[in-house]
Amino acid sequence: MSTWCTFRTTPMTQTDILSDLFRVLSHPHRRVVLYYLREHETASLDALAACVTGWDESGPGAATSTNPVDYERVRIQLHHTHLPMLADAGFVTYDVADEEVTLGDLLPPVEDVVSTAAGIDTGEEELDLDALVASSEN
Amino acid sequence: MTAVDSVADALDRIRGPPTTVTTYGPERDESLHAFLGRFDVTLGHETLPIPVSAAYLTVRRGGEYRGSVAASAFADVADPPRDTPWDPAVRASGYTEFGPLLAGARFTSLDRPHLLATSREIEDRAFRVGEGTLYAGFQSLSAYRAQLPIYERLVAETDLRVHVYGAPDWTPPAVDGVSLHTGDTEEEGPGAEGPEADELGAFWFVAFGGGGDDAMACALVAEQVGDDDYRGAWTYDSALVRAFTAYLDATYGQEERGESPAAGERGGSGEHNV
Repeated sequence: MSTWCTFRTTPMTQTDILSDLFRVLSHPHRRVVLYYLREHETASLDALAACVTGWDESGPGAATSTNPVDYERVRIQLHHTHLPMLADAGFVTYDVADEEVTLGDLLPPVEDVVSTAAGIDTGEEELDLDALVASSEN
Repeated sequence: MTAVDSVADALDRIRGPPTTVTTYGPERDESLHAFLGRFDVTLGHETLPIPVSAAYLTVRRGGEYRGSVAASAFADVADPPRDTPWDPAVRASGYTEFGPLLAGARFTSLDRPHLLATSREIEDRAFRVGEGTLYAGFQSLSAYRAQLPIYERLVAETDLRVHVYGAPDWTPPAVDGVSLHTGDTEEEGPGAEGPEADELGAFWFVAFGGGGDDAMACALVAEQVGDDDYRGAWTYDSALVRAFTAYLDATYGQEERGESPAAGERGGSGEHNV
């Protein structure tokens, strides 16, 4: 996949970059992982899976998640899909053997977008699409 | 499951795998942590940039995820409702969400209001099933006095049979379906000697075998260690609940004191004598 990371081989336009950023951040579980890691730097897969499952069952995601939340399913999806995708984008490093996740260096515009998304996902802010796009273009 | 040989033994056998409770939110909820700190759990808080109203906690046991509780339930922990078992406020209480999650974890210090709230949950299970046998140890029968209307209604509106245990410091009115057991060695069945009478005074317990539904079996066993201070645990392990109620039947009889030819027989689950 094309990536937001420093190892990309083809030149990317601003639009490509923005598309990739939004692709990576399009799943709420990937965003929750970032919210958690921005507070704690590192986490085990189990800790992230519990945090994300609880978030959907009883936390900020409870209002919008419709299906019953299954911890094992959340954990497997983190392991096989979400964490590799976040790692490909350079947002985290994922030590698969130790199941240990560490926050990467987020560029300022990424920080801005993640912060804005956090405000919306937690119900503390309304979605301001114009501000969102403008901040990621700066 | 080998036979339980005392109330203390029953409590001793309530041992779940190590439990980890993690709270998530902008900051620690101190009253919630004070409550959870009374249990033998690994307790942690992890900061998340979410509103206090969206805070939550997760419970893991022996590596398995057990469940979560929302912030809206946290307030009920400090002051759980305890009016009557069938009261909608009790059923809707956030406190009941902690029951299954903390089962098997020892508590080192709980007061009467919390034990009463936990007892209410067990009584409500019995009320909902509507058959089988409910065992309630009040330490002294005078403590049963305030609960009498509830137990009268329990047996009046269901096919439940109830056994009440306690030292005879008050003489309750006879209620059809409720058997009283005082641990009085003169009149109890064989086996009720010495320590057994003492244990009735020392332990608060409520047990329900499930009335034929193992999934509804549950028991609370708590030993008084201070004026308003108990240590103990509760369990949903049906085999353990059965072993405990079999001990109570065998030691204190299945019928009103002195009336039961079956008193002293071990092995009955208590669920078959209705």
